Amino acid sequence: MGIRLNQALEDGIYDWARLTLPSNVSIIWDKPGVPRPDKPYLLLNFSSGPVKVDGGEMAYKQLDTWTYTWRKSIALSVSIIADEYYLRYMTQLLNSLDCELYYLELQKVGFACWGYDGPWDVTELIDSQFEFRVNASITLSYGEDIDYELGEIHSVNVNGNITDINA
Amino acid sequence: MDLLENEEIVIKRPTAGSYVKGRHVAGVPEILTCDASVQPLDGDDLLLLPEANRNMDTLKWYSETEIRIDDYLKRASENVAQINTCTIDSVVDDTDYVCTINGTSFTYGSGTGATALSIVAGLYALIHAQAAVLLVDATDNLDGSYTLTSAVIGEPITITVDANQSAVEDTANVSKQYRVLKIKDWSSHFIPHYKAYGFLLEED
Repeated sequence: MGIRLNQALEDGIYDWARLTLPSNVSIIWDKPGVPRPDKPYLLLNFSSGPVKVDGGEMAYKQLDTWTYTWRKSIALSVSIIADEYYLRYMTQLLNSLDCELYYLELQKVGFACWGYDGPWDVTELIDSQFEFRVNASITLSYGEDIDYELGEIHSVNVNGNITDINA
Repeated sequence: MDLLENEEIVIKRPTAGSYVKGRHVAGVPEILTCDASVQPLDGDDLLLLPEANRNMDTLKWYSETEIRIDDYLKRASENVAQINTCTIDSVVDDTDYVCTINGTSFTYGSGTGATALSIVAGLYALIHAQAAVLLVDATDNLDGSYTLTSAVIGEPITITVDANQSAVEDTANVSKQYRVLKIKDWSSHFIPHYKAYGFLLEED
């Protein structure tokens, strides 16, 4: 299936992009060696992260197990490849981060948007034709729970006789 | 060309597939059978290949059938189709008989007055209808058992059955496939002669 990190999180990103962009724009996760759809399309990828961004919280779960809740941040790379209107599609995508109706799709799966860099026009000459494309990097954060077994010592068996205990 | 001995090869050609929630799902590959002359590479051929592929087990394939880059080529002499026989061990009325092939489950409800023959006939009909998609050939042996054969030599199949059946592997899968790296079309005078260089793949 080509899941990168977490299917629910990635599906949330897809749903947000699908709601935001017109239906003629295909949305794909980047994967080398597979055929690309016809233009226009949105290419998704995680370009860096996830990284832990603060100390997080630690809570007792059960005997010997604590749950760490960490805040992670990840950079979502979004690229529009289209013969025309590629900047318009990218603008729609980035504007949607400030519109509750669209942003809700990301929030539903636990993402918060911390901002974005770009967009950058990365149009390139490929063979003899220009491929028009624009890229931006959106910084998203989400919570991640990790159960941690501490290995606490709960009981000690003494093999032998205790002859003296000094208070 | 005609002096070179031809042998049977199977071409497995990837198809475009589709995108589901933005993720690519591979399509059912196209399977072609043709004759080809398979030859070792000479020094000039080696120079045409990317450097990293020169020391791999690369062969040259001449065929009148078109061979495309990224095709998988299998020599009939080096691959064996997997064969499994599934047998109905106990006949129980109103019970689901399940056979799962490559992750796809086929369920036949035995109903009342079931026999091993009727259960096999029911399962066979279900499997046979999907044979082209699964790339598996099914045969009703008419003795309370059915045989499943990989339709493509060297393509493994996974089979699981419910507790009322048993599955035995009669012939194990043997796979050795080459992926086409480079092609050259030698067609001339309306006679198509394709030449392809394939390199041996590690096990998928």
